[in-house]
Amino acid sequence: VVIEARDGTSEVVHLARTELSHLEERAARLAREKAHLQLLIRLMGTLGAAQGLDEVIEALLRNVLDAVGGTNVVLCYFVDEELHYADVLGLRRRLSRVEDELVKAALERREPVEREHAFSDTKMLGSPLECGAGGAYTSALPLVAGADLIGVIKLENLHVAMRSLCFQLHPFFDYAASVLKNEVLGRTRLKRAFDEVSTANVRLEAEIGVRLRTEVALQAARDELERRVRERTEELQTANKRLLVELAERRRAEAALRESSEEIRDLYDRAPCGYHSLDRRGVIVQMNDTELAWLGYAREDVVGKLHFTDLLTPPSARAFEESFPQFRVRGWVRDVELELARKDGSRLPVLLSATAVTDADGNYVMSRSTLYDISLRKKAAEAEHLLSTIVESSEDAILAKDLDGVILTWNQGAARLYGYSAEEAIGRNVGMLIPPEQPDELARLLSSLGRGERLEHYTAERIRKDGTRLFVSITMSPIRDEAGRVIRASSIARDITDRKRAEDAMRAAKEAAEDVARAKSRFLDIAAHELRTPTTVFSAVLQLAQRQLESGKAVDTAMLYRLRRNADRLSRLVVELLDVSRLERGTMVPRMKRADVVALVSDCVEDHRALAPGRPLVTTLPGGPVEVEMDPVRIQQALSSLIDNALRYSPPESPIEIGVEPSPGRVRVSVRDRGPGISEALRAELFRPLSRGASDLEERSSGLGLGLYLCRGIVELHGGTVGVTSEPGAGSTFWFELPRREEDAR
Amino acid sequence: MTSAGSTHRAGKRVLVVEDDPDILLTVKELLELEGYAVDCAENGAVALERIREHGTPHLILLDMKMPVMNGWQFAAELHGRYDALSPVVVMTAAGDAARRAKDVGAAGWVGKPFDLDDLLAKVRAHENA
Repeated sequence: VVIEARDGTSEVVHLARTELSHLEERAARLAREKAHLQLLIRLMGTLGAAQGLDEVIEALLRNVLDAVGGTNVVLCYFVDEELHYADVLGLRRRLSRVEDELVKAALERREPVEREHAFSDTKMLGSPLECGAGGAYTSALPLVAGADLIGVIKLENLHVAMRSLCFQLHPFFDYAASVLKNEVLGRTRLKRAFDEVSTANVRLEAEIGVRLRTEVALQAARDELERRVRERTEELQTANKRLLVELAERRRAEAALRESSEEIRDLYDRAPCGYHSLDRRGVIVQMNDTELAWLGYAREDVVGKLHFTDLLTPPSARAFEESFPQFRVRGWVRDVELELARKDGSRLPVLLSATAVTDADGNYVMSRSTLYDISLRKKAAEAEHLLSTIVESSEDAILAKDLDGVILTWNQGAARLYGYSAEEAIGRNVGMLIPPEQPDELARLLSSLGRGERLEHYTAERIRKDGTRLFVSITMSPIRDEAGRVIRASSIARDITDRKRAEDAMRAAKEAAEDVARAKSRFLDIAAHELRTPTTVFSAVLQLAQRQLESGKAVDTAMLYRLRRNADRLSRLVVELLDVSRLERGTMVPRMKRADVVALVSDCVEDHRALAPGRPLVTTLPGGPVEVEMDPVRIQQALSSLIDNALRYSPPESPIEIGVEPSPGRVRVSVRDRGPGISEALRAELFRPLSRGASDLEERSSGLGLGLYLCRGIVELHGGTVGVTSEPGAGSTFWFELPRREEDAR
Repeated sequence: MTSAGSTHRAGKRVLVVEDDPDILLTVKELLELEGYAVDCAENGAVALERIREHGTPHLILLDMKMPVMNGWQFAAELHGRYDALSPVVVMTAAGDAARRAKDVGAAGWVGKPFDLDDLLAKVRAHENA
């Protein structure tokens, strides 16, 4: 026997025949075992390379058939406790129950079961050459991984010669069971798989450990297997750990989320403002308790059922419909005033602000709207509006000013009263309204306001923008801040100019009446004095005459003239008083007749010449008569009083000029003296009775001072007028004019 | 009585100030009948003139209501210039004669119309010696 070594050398060994045959047999056995092992490794490699359950099953069936032959290889396996059928012919189905007796027995017993039978009744698929003349058998092998029964593999119609080979393949079937188990587990629900796999791992490791000790020949395969299993295990463990961590985190996160969302929910529901969200149609998708309480609805009546416009008053609903599409596009809206319509029909004004919630692509999802109850603010605003309307519509001037007098507010009434518009007045000082002759009035008012005093119905004079003056009744009140300090003042002023005028007129009338009363009293004094003068003369002259007569002296005729003169004077006084009385009562009736003014004047002048000899009375008369309708006695009386006055109030020997001037419609009679003249102020008083002017006259002369008053009264009864022109130092001209008819002029 | 008075009153001078000429004349005649020397003035200004001309009289009979210068003005002037050397008797028609007399610092008063005996009694009572 030549043995060739690996290094190429050879040696020749001499062996006995039996020894040779023994060695040859041993070599054949070794070669067989080697082939078996190689087959085993190949089978396991093929199976290990397969991916997924279907591929693993296919590879298992095919390789087993290739290795051991037979007519069919069937695999019955469990997935989620359901039994599945697969064979090498490609048939795949679920089994509702196991019909095959052999498979059933293997499943029940969990050990190989086989039945021998003749080849004749089988279809030969394997190679008959090696099989010899022996019979066939069918074997059902349970596939067990650890403690789990994965399924049963049934090898049909194997040649009996294949028995030892089959026996050699048991480790492969164990391996296949494990691979199959993995794949089957890959098909089951993830969570359960993880749980099972985690426990299976342990068992698998133990199994592998056993196998490592027992199956030396499977070293390479086992290494490979170990590596894969380790990898898988690590993956699974990592996944498992990650899953556990994730689960814990998720549970924690969920708890935190639940907690915070409860908090947010609570905040959302109990916020002091209304919250709601609207979908793109405007339908309410959520609403907080506050807003629901405002509206008086239950959540289930609103959410998903009502459109927001159902909760608004019609005008607000229209406004909302108009602005909602824009809101969806723009994405926000701020401080929109709307009016909610409550379930009970009442209204609630709100201020709405909203932002749109959008998805990742920017599409509108829903609104997030916040509503504030502004009913109090509205009420306050309404009250303020009402107040300001009252202030604005007041006829009174209402204004506020600070303690320097700077105007802060100015109503319409103030504008009307003072003529300054609010724009013109605000910011200026109220001093502009105060007359310049009262410079300290403002300071006085402001300081008393500063002390917190209130001024009521204070009457003051003010100046309008146009410079005219008015009288106002002012009530001023200090305005305090929260700390009670006076910071400004309000002022309400009412125009009392008319009232003031009426009061002034009344006061003037009263003063005039008092003047009249005083004048009357003075007149009575004067009258008494005037009456007493002649009576004093009577009394004194008569007593003197008596004394003279008693002492034997004669009584002088001059004394008698004196008596006569005073008797005339007394009589004139009485007539004068009676005439004044008639004039005052309106009972003086002129006795009108047609008479010549020129003749009347001539006669009157002659009378005065006789009474005042030596005074030059110069007349300027027209050539012919001037006839008018008159009471000649009264007119002569009037003219006489003018001539008397002229004589009395001009120097002795100075001439008096008396003239008659006819003109169309009238005739003027004038008396000019060369006296001191009369001041303008006195001139106005001359013709008035019982006037203050009379007191000045009274000091100048005796007499009642009623001559001119009577003169005017008489002339006016004739429809005429009286007057005086005078220059101080150059004398005076008193005149009267009487009306004349046209035919009189011809 | 009257005849006795004419000698008794010799040398006494009275100034009568009165605006009514008839009263003035009558009072003048009465006083002359009684033996007084009489100065006449129709108003206060003339009266002051007379005093300047003839010196202060033993008595002044003074009417109050007069033009140009009335009794009050005259009395003020008189007191200012002559230290009230002459007593004044006021003649007045007014009801409040006593008050008026006091106002001008007069020694006495007579009301108008007056009793001549009463007038003479006042003159005698108040005239300076």
